[in-house]
Amino acid sequence: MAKPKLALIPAAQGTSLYSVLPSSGVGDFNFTRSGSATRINSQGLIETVASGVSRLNYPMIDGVVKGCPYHILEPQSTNAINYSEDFTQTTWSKVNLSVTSNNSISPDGSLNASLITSTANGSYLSDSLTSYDPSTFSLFVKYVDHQFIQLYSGASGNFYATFDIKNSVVGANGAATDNVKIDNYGNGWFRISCVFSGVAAGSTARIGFAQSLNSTWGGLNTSFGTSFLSFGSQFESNSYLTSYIKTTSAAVTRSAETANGSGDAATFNDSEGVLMLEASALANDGTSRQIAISDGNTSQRVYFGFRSNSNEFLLSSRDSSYIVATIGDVTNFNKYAFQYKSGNFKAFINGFNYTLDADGGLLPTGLNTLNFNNGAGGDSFYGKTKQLQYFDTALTDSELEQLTSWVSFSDMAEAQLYSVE
Amino acid sequence: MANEIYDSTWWGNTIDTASSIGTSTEMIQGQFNLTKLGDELVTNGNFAEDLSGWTIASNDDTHSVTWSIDGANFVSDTTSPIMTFGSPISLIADKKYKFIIKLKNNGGTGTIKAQASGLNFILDINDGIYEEIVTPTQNQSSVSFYRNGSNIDLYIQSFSVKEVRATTVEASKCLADTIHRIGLQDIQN
Repeated sequence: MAKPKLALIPAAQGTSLYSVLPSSGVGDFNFTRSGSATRINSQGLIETVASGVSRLNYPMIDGVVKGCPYHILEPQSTNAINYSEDFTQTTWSKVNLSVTSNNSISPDGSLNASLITSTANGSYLSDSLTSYDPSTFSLFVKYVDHQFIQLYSGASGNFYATFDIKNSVVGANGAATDNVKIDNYGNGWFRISCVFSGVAAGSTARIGFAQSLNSTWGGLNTSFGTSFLSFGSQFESNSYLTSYIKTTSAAVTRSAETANGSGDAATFNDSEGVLMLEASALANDGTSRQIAISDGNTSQRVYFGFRSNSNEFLLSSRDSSYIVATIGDVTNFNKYAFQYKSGNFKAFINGFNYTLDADGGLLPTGLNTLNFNNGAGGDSFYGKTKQLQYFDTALTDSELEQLTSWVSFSDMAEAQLYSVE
Repeated sequence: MANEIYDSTWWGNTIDTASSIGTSTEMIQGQFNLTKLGDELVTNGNFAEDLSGWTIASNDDTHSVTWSIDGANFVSDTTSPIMTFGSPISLIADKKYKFIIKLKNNGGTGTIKAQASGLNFILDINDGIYEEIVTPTQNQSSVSFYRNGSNIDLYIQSFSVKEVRATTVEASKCLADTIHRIGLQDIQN
């Protein structure tokens, strides 16, 4: 097997994404993010990462950290909820319920989860906020003795989702509500979430004690005295769920993250090479998200990335030799490799050789930088990256197959977020 | 045995050492270079033959920098004019850099400063080795030395700036395992 000229294997946080090869550091990616952000650390706990520091995020399967971390790059998002963890504040209207602060250990490992207890029928928390379209509403919850929770908007009956937090089941949801999810964070904690499309400005975000899994909008409790634990509410300006953004007295924006400027002219070969990636998309969000070796422009580049069409992945040299591949699910981890060489352009995905859609054979010139964008600053890549390698020579089909194959059954299962017993 | 699966042609001699002592955190952090300093960023930082690549500004008869076998002889008897002695260095805001400056006193009592927009620190010695970890708040294209007070007569024997990369390798086992798997692929070939 040829030696990669550049290899990024996520293992350290800092002001760069650090490449193992070349050892000089010329392969490091300059990382930017203004403001702090959160991640899931190796203990499975939510942890704050300082401004300008890249994030290693650990995958959780069935509430347990499973496998090695990945670098996460997320777009900008704003959590519009004030006091996202403190439900005693007056910004939260408490209707027929009580809040006991610092009652239990939360998903960040601290004694700061709130016990929410219904004190009469029709119990809910409500927060007036700036609405976004689309918007994603989420909350960390843990079952005590109240089983059904509803996230909803005061705007209309189109915006709600109901959850069974005892059995981790998603229930009814409104006509303008989708991507309803319940994610296991371990120790009985779940992050429940849903996406609202077209919610009106000036409406409220509400957290209700639902009657049942089939409860529709505002179908709240008809008995009381039950409780659940709550932490980390988020009403964000994004079409999909992103990492938790803590707020206090005002909305907080986590800026978009960038990672660019890896390598130099001596790193990349204009005549032949292979770019390999193991990554997953954060969502099928209708945008183009690319990784490119280029000369700083989009006219001279080798690149690949997630397409605006769902579950499509593009691999290309100068838009001349390329393929648009349809993948089972781009939000799972997949392995991609694209080879450029005169008369020998190849695309391999998960061990399979894909026939190119076109093979015009144009080679790039002046390659001098590898970026998590389209090569000229646009179409920034947002996703989870487990490895990125660049070879400055062409590989054999056998090598390309091996490079993009799962090395074990458990490796493949974890990439698809399955737990192997 | 790890010795049998790592391919030393990939990673150089360091991997041979790594494979012989296992995959301890300490070993991995050292071996796979993530915590090592980056390349030297200063051109002609040891003044081996001359002051080429460096720029002297606002100098006069008693404020001068001249080359000698001991390095760049920085002389500034008073505080005016403010002479600068600069090197073109590209620094990126918010990254960490290790500055190492080797000085030799030539009879003066004063010290010098290192300065660029977004960074400014006083070397509190005028003889010996001075080290500083610096985080510029703005991108930089040069760094200059200038007087900190009067009666300065010293040699700047060498000046080194290298990027400080990762301070810790958190996922060292994952890093080792990934390299291990790649090594396995080599053996299978």
